[in-house]
Amino acid sequence: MPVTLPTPTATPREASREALESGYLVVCWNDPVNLMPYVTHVFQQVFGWDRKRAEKHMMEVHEKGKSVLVRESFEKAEAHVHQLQSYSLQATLEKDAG
Amino acid sequence: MKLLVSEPGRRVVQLAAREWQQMRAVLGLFQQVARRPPPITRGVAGELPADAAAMLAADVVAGLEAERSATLALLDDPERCVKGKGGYGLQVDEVEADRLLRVLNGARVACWEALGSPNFESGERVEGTDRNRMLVTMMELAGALVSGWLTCLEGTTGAEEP
Repeated sequence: MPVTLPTPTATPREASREALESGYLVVCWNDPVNLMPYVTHVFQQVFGWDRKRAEKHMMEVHEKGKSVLVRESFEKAEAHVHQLQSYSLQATLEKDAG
Repeated sequence: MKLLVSEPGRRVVQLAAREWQQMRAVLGLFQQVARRPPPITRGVAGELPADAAAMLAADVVAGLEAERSATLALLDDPERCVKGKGGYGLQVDEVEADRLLRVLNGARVACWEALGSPNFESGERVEGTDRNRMLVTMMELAGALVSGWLTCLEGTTGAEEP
């Protein structure tokens, strides 16, 4: 006789741990001081992106005021923000509401 | 500013004597213009540990100061920044090249912050005091050096082209 296993569901503790591990966004905000080629260069350096991808995010920052660069755990997102801020970019860590 | 040698992990850049002096002047600004610790988030307060945010901000500012000192020492090292006819040959590895870019841009941002973070692109202006004139001049100078250095980092000497 076939046995139907219950659908796995995350307990509150597991759900909260999951949110902490991958629920933070690294956001770069527009500013009127950092030069566009410099911002592109920094994205390439920090994330290892090719120029095309780095330019796409740079243009998004410039035209829309901000760009979500990556979604990571708290520790990884914090490290990225630290790196970006060491290049004087206006980067912040935001909790992913989505 | 001209890229003379580009090898894996090593670059030699020719600096005009004027550019070398400008770099030293721009880097010297860090002692006059303190950087403002950057915010770690613009989100809802309390979602991030406050002590982590304060430590991160202080670390960024302290890191820039350490990098400024190291870069000034490099520019003053006669074996790494060799004086020649009309200029200098600056030899850097990857870390030093990146650090120089970061501190030059950091000086530009420090000037901008000291001016009150104006949005010049949208026509905002600052009061015409001597200090502000000096800051605007240094900000533009730092920007020109950042652009020149970026070109050297991303460019080629031309030797490897067909």
